[in-house]
Amino acid sequence: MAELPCPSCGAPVPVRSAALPYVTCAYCQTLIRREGEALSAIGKSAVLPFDVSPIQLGSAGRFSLIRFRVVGRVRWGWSDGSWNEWLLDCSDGTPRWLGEAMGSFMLTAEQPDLLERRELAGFAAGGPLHLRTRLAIEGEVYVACDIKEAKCLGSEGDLPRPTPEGTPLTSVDFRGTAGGFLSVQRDAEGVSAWRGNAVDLAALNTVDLRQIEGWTIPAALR
Amino acid sequence: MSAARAITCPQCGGAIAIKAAGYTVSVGCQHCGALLDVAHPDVTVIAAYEDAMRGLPVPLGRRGTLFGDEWEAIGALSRHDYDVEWTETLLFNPYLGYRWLVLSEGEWSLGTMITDPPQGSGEDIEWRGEAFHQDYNLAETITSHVVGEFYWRVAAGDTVAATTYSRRDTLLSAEWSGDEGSWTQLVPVSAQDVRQAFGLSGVDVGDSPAPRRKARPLGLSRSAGAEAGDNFMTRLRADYDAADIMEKSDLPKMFKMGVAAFLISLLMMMGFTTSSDTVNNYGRVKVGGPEVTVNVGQISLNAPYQPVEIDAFGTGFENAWVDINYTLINRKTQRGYTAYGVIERYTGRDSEGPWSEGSFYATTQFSGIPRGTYDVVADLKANRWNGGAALNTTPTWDGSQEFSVNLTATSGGFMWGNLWLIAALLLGMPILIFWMRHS
Repeated sequence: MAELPCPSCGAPVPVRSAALPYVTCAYCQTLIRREGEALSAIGKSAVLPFDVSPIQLGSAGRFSLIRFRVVGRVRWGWSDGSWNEWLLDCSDGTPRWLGEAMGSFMLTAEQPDLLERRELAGFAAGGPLHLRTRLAIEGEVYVACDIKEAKCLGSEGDLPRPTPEGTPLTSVDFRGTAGGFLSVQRDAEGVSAWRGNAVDLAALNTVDLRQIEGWTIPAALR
Repeated sequence: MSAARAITCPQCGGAIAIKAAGYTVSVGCQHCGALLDVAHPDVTVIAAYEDAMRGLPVPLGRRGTLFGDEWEAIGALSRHDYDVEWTETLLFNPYLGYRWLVLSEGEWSLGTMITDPPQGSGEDIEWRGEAFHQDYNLAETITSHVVGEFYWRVAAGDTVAATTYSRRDTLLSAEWSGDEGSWTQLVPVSAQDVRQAFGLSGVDVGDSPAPRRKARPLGLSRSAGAEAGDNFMTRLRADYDAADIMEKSDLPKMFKMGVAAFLISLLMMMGFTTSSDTVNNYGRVKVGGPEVTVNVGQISLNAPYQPVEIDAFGTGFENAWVDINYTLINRKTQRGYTAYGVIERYTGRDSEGPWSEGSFYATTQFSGIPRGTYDVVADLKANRWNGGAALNTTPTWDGSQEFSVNLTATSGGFMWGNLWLIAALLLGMPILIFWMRHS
């Protein structure tokens, strides 16, 4: 893998994917923008607070025929907690996020056409979205059940968008009547919609999970 | 030493190791009982309580292996509704997430949050293709004590509306807080397994096989029912919208399968129609008189399960009905099977002339009666009908109608009614679809 020096501390920064122009230096937490061979420091990320997530950069897995590798993470905090969004580099070229909250996982892919829906138009234009807003998608009814005003607590690895510490985010979770999950997010850069469902880690056939001190990785996850 | 975030309780200075660092947002201090906010780097006291929760079913920090997975007890809630008090221990494994170990009335069960909510509403719901029936009415459930760490903002006094649905040993617990519902699947765990897993002494916990939570009168709360019904209608509409893929029509297939299933049913039912045994007797009843018990006779059933048909025939009465309660009593076990029949006859005259209604004849069927020898007993009671009196009834035997009712019990009858029901169930829907498409 190609490496370039961090413009702030000179430590080697791996270059993984041209589609992910932002990277956080693992040594000094500088947030770097990469344009071709040129690296520029654009801000500072925080040292991520300690957590016991079983996922780490480099964890890999497979669902159906798609292989993936975890290449980045953003951690978001709100008044009553925090959650992780792990960026997956997938073999089919579709970027996906593996959301991790309350010990469970949500695998989502971007679905930009949803932003054209009448129910989301106001939110996309910067207005509010009401709890219990309903959205029918492919025969399933999604209901807005959680709206959070969050701030970025820190990031690591490669990312498609810059998220310096403190970046504000409005995140709306929809739950589908058949187990589907939809996350509509709005930040300074714009609005995006991500749809998927809850997944068991075991169903992702993971390898290279993080070794958490004091715990054995269950056989189903090795 | 395991991975943990170490904090100090701002209330009592006690050391607390947060095991689910990154997930945990609330901690009930096990030293002083204070409820702490640990969602942020600076730990703050939300509420101070008199004392920490004592007598935990599983000590916090204790690890155990259940169903092959290792779990650590990291939090506990004590909760109650209007007639039961129980504890819920929060179990954690960083690779597997959370589980609940519930101890209620001496029985343990392991709970897993479910993300695919059951379908349907009311007393009967369906989850992963299986039917679950509601056990009791929505009841207010109050959290009275909290200790340890939790991934949400927990507090003593938290109140939710809760109910359970069951299918054999599995319970689905539903909790409603406002409009948000959360579902947990509960499977029973033996007290011995829990004791062994967590190294508990077992003197105080779950030694006696106590009954499950009592069944209570049913009746869904309006709001939850209405919300669920709303969902159902929306879903139905959405399903209908999505259904045009089936336009290509598997109707011929439905017909073929329906007819095939009907023929198989016919053959099977003929197979069950084996031995036949008939007994006959009669009883005399008086309209308005006392109940009469008739011992119809004794029949023997030789197949593992077979139907029994009883025909009642009475004549020579008008404007009266006879209630007939049949009982088949197994001679060996004294176990009884009951069924009900009625014969009735009403006549009168109105502006359109004379009329008559009812039948002197009634057939009652028992479907699956187990092998054995049975006494067939009928209790007959004849009642007078006065409704037609004003309209010129013929007062033939008024006052003291007395007549005979003939009773014939036959084992191993052919269940024509069931056969037609099967035909209707199998072919009704395709016929309806056919009709809708071609009209």
